[in-house]
Amino acid sequence: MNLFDRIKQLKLIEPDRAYSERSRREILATEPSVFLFKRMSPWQIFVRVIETGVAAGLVALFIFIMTGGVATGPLAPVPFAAVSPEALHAEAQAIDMQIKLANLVYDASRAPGAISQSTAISNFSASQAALFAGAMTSTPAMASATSTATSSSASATSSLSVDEALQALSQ
Amino acid sequence: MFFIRMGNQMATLTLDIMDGDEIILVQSAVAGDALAFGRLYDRYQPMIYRFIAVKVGRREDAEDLTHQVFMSAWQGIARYRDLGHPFSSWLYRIARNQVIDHYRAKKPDMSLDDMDADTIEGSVIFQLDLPRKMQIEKTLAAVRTLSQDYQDVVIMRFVEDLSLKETAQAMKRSEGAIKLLQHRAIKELQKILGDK
Repeated sequence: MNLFDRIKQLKLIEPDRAYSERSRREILATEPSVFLFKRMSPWQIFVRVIETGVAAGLVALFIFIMTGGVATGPLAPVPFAAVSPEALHAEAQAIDMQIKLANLVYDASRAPGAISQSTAISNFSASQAALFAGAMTSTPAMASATSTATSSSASATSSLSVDEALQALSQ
Repeated sequence: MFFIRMGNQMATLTLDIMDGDEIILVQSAVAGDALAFGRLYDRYQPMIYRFIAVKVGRREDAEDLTHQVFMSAWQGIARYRDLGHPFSSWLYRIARNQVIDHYRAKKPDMSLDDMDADTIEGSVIFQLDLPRKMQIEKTLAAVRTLSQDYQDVVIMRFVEDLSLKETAQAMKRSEGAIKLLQHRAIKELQKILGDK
């Protein structure tokens, strides 16, 4: 069999009849999108545009809610004290105070003789703590933070053997 | 010219490149007439299927790609512009792009000796006895070792019996370029199959 006869044999390749019917049906069941818009009335196009707009709006609203826009913004139905900027600022200051107290304890235990040097710092911390505690007790949301600070200072007191440092703090 | 299978005999019908009937069908399809596109599908689907099947080898792939070609053609029928070329050349161009995309996704590399029972099982040839299937599979494998352009010219010119002009239009080449490609493709195929 020569080459051309062999190539001609490839004509025997045919699609399966069942496949062809199924494929034809599936293709013709779809409608090209360009014809969809051509066949729509102005009212249908208007409804389609409104539908798309509403869907986009809902997505935007969902994102706004998810990012906390309703909880803290001017639209908030119930103001959350825990996430107000003032409360967050106060809480950050309380943490700062605890760090200073811890440093004081550390310095005292490391070098008892150095207590007199750190008195200025402890005086500063104590005055700040007093002011801060007064401000905090007025905010119910910060009650827990203040109590934490108090308890930590209490634990610091119990572990401190240096009376001068405690006295400075209490004053 | 194209062929219609009638039992075991091959009847040959000669049609103009774009006969009056086809022009009306194409115009109706472009206007969104699904029935007209259905008739174009009936007319060209076997040719496109064969073109793809020879190039990809596996029946499932050939069926998927042929379906994709006609789906793309139907979805993009509004973009079709009659430039005097046969409708089939537009379909062939879509088919060529689909096959290129298919090979980009996965490129099977099979030699003539790699054919086994599994290969024949998923083959595009069925309803034939095994020795004949094997022979056709060898020819198919040889054609598939050619470059894409050589494959296209062999299928269009010698399997589908398209004229030089139609082949040139489908491949976006000049008739002279098609003659040259055809000559080189046959020489290459002879070398692979050891024919004289």
